[in-house]
Amino acid sequence: MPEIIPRTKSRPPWWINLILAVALISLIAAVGGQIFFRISAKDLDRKIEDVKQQIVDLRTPVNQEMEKQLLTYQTQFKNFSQLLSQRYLTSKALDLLETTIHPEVLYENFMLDASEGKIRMLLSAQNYGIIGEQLMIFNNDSRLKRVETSNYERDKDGLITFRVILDFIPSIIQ
Amino acid sequence: MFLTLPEYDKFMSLTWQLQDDKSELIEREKHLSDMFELSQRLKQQQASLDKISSALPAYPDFPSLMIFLNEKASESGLIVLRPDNVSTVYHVSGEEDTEQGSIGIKPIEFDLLLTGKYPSLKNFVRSVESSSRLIRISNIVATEDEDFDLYVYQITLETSFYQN
Repeated sequence: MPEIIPRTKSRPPWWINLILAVALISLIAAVGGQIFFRISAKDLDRKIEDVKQQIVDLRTPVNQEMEKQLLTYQTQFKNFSQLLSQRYLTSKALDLLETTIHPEVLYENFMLDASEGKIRMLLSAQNYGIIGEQLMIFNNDSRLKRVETSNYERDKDGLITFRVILDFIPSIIQ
Repeated sequence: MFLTLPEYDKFMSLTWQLQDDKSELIEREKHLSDMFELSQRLKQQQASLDKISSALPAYPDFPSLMIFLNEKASESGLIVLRPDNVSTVYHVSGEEDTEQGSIGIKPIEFDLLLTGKYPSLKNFVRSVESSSRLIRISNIVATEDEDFDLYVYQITLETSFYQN
């Protein structure tokens, strides 16, 4: 009777098991990682939506109106300060006129241009002596830059009339 | 690797986006808080704001200006003969307007003819200069009216209004 000898099972080499185990672990890790990142991404999406909504909620009509109002004020302040810096007081030019005209010299007309810093006048006096004193007053006034006289004439009443153009320093009216 | 990497990239990109959005939110909240604080401080300075609004009205308001000038002339002893070279243009609030330079300070310049004596003129000039509305007198032309022993003054006035 033949003896039956069972065949020994051939076992795979140990390294194949190792590769299989590593591959299995990697697969589990990859699937797990994918699930983790997908869930986290959804959570982040929700958070981003919340933040965006909060940003939108900040833009209420009241806040927008307040912002508009403040911008208007800002422009107004800027313009106001610009206007103030360009302001001048013409009354100071009249003061200049009063303090530089000789008591015995009369004006028949005058034209004051504050923006140009110029005064044009038609003056009259009894004699050249007074006119000389008048010119001396002009010469000694440091507020004046330039004095021009012309058109000396004697009018029907015997007065000497003459034209004067005074250029004054612009800073005196600011 | 191929399974995880795209999800990882998306996750990182969303993380950066969340950070950016949070920074924007913080910035906007700070901006709003600053605006609110500024608005409160401005409310405490209402009197000064009213002065500025009075100095720079929102439209030319020529009639009020003429009433004011007539009053000041009368108080100073001058008679207003007439205004001259008056022209005011402004855009009413809410009007659609794409014209350049339509927003901001708009000047008004006109002449005023007055008659009286020199001291009255000087008082008038001082009153106008000290008014709450910013008015500049850029030109004065004085001519003698021999018939009445008075002077006729042509005054050029410059003022402004704020076009919103």
